[in-house]
Amino acid sequence: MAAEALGCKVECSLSNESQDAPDPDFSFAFQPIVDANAREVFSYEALIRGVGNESAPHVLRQVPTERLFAFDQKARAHAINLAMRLGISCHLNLNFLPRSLEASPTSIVSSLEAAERANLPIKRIVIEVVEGEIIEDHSQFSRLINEYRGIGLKVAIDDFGAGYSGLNLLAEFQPDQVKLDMKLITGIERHGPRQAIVRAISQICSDLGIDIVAEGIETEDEYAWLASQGIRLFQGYLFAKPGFESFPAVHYPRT
Amino acid sequence: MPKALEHLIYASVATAEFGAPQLTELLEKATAANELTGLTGILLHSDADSSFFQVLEGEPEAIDRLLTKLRADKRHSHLTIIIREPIAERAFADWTMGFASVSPEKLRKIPGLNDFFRGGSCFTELDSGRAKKLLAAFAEGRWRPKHLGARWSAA
Ligand SMILES: Cc1cc2nc3c(=O)[nH]c(=O)nc-3n(C[C@H](O)[C@H](O)[C@H](O)COP(=O)(O)O)c2cc1C
Repeated sequence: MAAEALGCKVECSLSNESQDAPDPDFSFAFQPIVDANAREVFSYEALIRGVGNESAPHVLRQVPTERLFAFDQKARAHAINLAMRLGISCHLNLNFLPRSLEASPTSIVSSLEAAERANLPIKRIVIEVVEGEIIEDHSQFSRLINEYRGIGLKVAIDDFGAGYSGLNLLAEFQPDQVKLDMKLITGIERHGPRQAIVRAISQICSDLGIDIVAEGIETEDEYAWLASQGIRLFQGYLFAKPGFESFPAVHYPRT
Repeated sequence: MPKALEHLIYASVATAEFGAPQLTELLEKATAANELTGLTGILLHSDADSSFFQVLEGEPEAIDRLLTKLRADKRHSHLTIIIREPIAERAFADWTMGFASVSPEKLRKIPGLNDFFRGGSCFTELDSGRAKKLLAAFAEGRWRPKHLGARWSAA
């Protein structure tokens, strides 16, 4: 895979004329989002890693602040190519650094172009945006995103329920997916307030045609409670850990 | 670049009794008009609580023009827009205005709807698109007069 990282380096030194410090080498891990009812993978989320599978912060720390957005775009293009080489046949969830949509409108376009070059249909791309990102101007965000939804791009709100704006946001903008924050999920089977919140979110989402993904799911008990509420999309160690440069095997719980 | 497409999904409450003759008249006019304006979609009607649920797809201007008429149409009230957003493709491309009376058995008979009203209970097929998910929600009893704030009494 060293050749991969190298290939990418060549590409980016071509496209970025002046550059003092080189970008760090990086790669991706993929974690499945599974449809537990159909027992199939619904999507893979691409998670940035070092070339030795180091964590995302380890990689991002090495990127100079002024290069962050450009690096983020380049990394997404790489994630798309890698997913295609791995033979992706479902959706692909891609992350955007906080503030990148606002700060650089080209961040979406560049990823759409990368998808086109790689022959990945746009309607299979789900962009993940954290709710804190959109707190300031919901309607501006909605206008920006809706431009691309017209060509089939899907949008997920990540870490939903972690901040204050979540429900408010849904009044302006209805994403395709919300990903429930792991803090809501952990131990939900024995925590009344969390259950009440997730039930309410679940109701809202079914009224608005939004899919819920329960993230960070680690135990069968969490799974059983969430499944009993009609949630069927899951991401977490219970099903599969992220696979470095690979699509890992999925463990489906019984029941 | 193809023309911009949007869908508008709303629910409303019938103001008078809507029997077969009224529905037939409404649908005949609607399908003929939609043919001209390039609108497609589906209309659901629930006998049990006299409510409507409609998906309209087409160019934004055509949707706007019809929406103005729909708001003025005295045959229904409490028109509540649930979703309006751009779409990449039509979910009901072949239907100038499909119609279904909401009872699960009847819904299942409609070609193209079987795939997501399966096995006795309506279920939402993932990634089937928002329009179909919302149809399923309506069929399951959401977005009815009581949700829209209508004081509905059986006629
Ligand atoms: C529930 C409901 C659904 C309707 N759907 C449509 C439709 O899809 N297309 C349409 O042209 N009119 C539809 N209409 C009728 C319009 O409200 C309006 O009466 C119609 O556009 C005729 O307007 P005009 O004769 O002034 O042009 C619907 C009315 C109701 C009550």
